[in-house]
Amino acid sequence: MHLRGRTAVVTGASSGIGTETVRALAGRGARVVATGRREDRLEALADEWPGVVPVAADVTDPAGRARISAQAGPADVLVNNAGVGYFGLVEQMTGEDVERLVEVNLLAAIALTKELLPGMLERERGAIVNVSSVAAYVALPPLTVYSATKFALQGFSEGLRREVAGRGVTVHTVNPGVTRTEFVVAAQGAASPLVQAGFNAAGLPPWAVANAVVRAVESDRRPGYAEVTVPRLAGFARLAALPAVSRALDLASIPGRVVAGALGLQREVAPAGDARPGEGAGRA
Amino acid sequence: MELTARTVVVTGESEGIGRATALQLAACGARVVAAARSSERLDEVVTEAEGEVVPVAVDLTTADGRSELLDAAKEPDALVNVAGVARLGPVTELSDDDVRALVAINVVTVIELTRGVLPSMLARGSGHIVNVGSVLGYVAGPPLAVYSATKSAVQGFTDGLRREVLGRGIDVTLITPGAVQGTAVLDRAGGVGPGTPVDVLFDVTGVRPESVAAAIREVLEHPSWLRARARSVPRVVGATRLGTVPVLGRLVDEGTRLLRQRTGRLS
Repeated sequence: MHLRGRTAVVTGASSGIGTETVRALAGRGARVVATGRREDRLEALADEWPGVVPVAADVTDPAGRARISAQAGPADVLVNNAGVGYFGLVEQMTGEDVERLVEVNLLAAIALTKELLPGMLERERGAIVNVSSVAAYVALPPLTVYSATKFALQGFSEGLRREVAGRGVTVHTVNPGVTRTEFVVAAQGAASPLVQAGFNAAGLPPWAVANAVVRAVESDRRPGYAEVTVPRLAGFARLAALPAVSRALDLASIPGRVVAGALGLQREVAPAGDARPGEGAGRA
Repeated sequence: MELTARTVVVTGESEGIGRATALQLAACGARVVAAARSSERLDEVVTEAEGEVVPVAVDLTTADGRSELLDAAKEPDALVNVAGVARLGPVTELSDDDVRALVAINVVTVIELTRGVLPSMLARGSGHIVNVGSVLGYVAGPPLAVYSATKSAVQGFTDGLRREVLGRGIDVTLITPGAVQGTAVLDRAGGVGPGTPVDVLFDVTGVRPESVAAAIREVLEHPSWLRARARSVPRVVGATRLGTVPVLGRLVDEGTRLLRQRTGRLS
């Protein structure tokens, strides 16, 4: 799909991958409805690019989604990017943690898809990109529940792609590895040893993921763009589904646990300052 | 694990796999704490069981319902998460509430019950958690896209959980059935009553719920990281995990597209 003159909706647009995706889509001439919870950042994006429509809304709230849909009008592209990270063992999580991960990472994406898909099917034109994660292929502690939500988003995307096949709408996932976003800060706190150790700085730049989103939208049904891992090599994470590889990962998890414990990864730290969770900070 | 006098929590036991599992485990001498929404059906199972079945009629999607179940079980030796629902239909035809209900029972309940039993199991250094997924967790397809998503979540959760507790005395097993006779999992509201085409298809191609229950009993009796960490019923449907190989996934994509062009409709 050519993006010039098309309308795109991007969730989690106030930071990280979302912000860069808005820039990349606007740069191709699309009208971009940028949604997130931090209005000031969305306004700044709109000042930067003509054609960006800032809509401050919470995607987990039906009223918020209705507002997004109303502002967008007939949308051609939906990028479900809003997501929240969580580092921690299952036994250390609270019920609210579980609820929040499922709400933002899964239910909000499905609900917004349901909101915008009927129009796309009617016009027989559309692209839905779900920003997933390499964690959708391989579940490793302390990201177990985060992984579960990304596995679900992956399964949903696959099922949906087959459901709408041949009706003018394409469905893609973009699966980044570690990305330089607020993900770790939001999930762990700025004081976390992981942040201090420069874990983030070692990750991908968010614009690389945004470019993958744009390539997926522009690819139509060309082979190789249904699931785009960033970097491409990370696609080998799919091998984790094979029993032998899965067993090897099981065994590796025992020393892995020791390392994660030493890094303080398995302890939840309150979110720090501006990096509010639920804001589409990024992926691990 | 010798099942005699062990306490096993089984969810979704009013019909299908859950019911068969409760009956088989009770027959082996386990104390089965069985949860379901319908108390009449639970009572039927209690009467039919050749052993001890403690019925707990609760709504597992509520925190209160889950604590009532776990209180009745005290500190269970094993948890078998069977409860789940499916709803046939295109994504656009499901309501937000439908989606929420599917995710609540198929995903959140599984995670929350696991969180509920983990502390005592970790403290004792023993326990077994068995989650029932589906081959659709390996290969997603319409008209069950949202159900597929929930079963993928169960699969990811089970993998991660196993890696969290490996070496700490707790076994974690994923059971992935293919089609199961009786379609107990399918929501009757979706026009899937007895005698409908879907029902007949499942009856012809599916395994009996008792076969899945037998696999669950087997892994509980003989937990083994090497041989019983994931089991498909029948075994052959485990090959569906090859669906993650890009080329094969693409073939399924094209297959569904061609099928739609031929028949006009998929669901």
